[in-house]
Amino acid sequence: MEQTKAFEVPRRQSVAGVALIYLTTLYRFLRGFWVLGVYFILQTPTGPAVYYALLGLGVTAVVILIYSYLYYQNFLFHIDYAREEFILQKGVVSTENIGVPFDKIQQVYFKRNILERIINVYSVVIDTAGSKSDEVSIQALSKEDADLLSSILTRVKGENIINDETSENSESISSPERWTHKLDFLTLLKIGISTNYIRGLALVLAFFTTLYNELNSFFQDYAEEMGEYYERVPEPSDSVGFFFFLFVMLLLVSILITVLEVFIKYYGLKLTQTRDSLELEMGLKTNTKVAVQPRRVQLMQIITNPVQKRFNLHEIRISLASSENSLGKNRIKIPGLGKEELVKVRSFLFGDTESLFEQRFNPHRLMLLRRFLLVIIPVAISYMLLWWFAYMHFTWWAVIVIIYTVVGVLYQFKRFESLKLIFTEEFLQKKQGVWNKREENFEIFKMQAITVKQPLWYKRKDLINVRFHTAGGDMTFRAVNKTIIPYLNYLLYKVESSTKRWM
Amino acid sequence: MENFSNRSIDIDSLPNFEEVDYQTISSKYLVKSNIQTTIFLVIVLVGWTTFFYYQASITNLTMAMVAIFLYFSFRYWNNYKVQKTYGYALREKDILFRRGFFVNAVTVVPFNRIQHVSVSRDAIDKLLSISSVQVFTAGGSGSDINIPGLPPDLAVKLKEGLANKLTTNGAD
Repeated sequence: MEQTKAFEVPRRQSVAGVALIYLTTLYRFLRGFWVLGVYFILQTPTGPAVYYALLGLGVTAVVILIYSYLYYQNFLFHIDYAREEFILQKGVVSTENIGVPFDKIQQVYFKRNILERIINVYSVVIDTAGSKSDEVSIQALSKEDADLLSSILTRVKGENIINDETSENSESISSPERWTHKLDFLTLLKIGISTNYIRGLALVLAFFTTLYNELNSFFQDYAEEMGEYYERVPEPSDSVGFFFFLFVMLLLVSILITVLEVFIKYYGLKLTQTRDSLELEMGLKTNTKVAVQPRRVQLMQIITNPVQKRFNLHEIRISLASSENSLGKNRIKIPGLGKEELVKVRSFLFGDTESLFEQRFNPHRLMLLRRFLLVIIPVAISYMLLWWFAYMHFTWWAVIVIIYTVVGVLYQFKRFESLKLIFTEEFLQKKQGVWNKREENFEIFKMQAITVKQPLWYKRKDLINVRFHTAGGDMTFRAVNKTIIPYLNYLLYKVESSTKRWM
Repeated sequence: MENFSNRSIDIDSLPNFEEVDYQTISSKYLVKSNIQTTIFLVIVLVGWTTFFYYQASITNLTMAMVAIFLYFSFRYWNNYKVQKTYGYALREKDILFRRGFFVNAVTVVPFNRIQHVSVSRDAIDKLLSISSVQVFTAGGSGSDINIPGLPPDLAVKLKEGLANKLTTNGAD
């Protein structure tokens, strides 16, 4: 072994691995069937039943033991130095052969659960960019092997990205400030008042529904004692005035809650641009601090609504690529930016680029049909319920439905009109939103893949749905004409000819 | 950015991903789909028989049977249709994967965005001696591709070929 390079020859886990696999599998099996066990015990079993149960248990244990041994036998890993790859083969019934190129390894780390602690072995986890489930882990290695493997992998991965790491480390040491943006009390108040209250409203509603239910059951429990009083508690449907009052109260409370939430989340927000990163600090209860490097930014959203636009407030959401967390978790929200800050952030994150062309695409009208259908479905359901249960007078129902349909259709129409996909030389942008206007951007060369979908019923109209995959999430654009295809070719060309690191 | 020459690009003259010829997958995969559907059918039929045994109402049983029949006829027919749509293609710088009958989807993954590649086989695959190749990217599960029904040696070759492309293409 000493002459050849370490791990060059396919090898297995340490023998203790069999025990580990056995115990883990047994544990999983028992976890799956514990209900049966409880049922069995509660039944106070008789003679033959006990016998069969024990027999079954014994057979299972033996089968699992055989399985564990085979799993151990088939679990082979090695490092292919010529191909610069780590290779793992595993599986008994279904087998898998995984190859991880050195330069795709993000990090290598140890993991130990209780079982592994007991039998004194280690798990080495090889993490690649991508979701959690894609990571490769080698369980049950002895301490020396785990150390050796992780040091080799860290070294070979380091050879590929060493330049990167050093430049990254040096930047945090000397970082002269370029500009700073702080949110004052008044701006926070403005943000609070102008964000939509739906979340706040939902919170309030949830609170009051539980309260109402609790009180109701409380009063019903004591209904006999408090009979007289209980009868005077007004039924909610008693009067329009009561409804109106309730509505205003709810609105006020949800505004209050929303403002409070904004204060808690964003109090003391301070955005500083240094030479290499954007540093963000905020929060009343928990102080969040993040540094955003342009290279890590995968997807950026700018959100505003008419009221906020008046106040010159915009919210930026940034999705970062991250190796440790699953996608989407790493989303940073920065509210309360004015037009000037927006320009500064943009030019810092993406550079000042002039585009030679700009091509816009709109979705086809066919999409509206689908959207209108979505509006109609609740109407149909509520009509059926009305037919069966007659929960309100038909005229009332009709009035509500007409208002709802008109509003819904108008909303969907506006939404449809607002949808745009814009190709420029370096960026792809999607615009949407009726009230909350959202602008989603990503740098073309950071795209990971494209999926083009065509349902049968799009064929005649030559339409497709396009989904752009980035490491910070997907961007989808539906029902667009096939004239978009050359631009998709352009995106692929940009990605494939790019030599820049995307994260 | 600085050393990138800003030549104008004629977008219409770029290679078109819609014009590639797809390699079909092994017809054994249709057998696999049908086996899977049949296993499911057997389970459902066992359930139906249980209800029959416990004397559920005849109307319900007939209705269930009709539903089962319609659903599984659709499934078998769909297996057949979908099988024809499976295809993959390799270009100089990317891999394309096509699937789906009702909703036909094509995913294009550039080689320099592939994270890793694996070959896997489950029990039915082994029985029929086919393999499938998975290509993982950092773009989440939507952009990962899984090409089923490949002859095992081809699958290994494809995996190794892709891995080679990664190290020559992706390192820079």
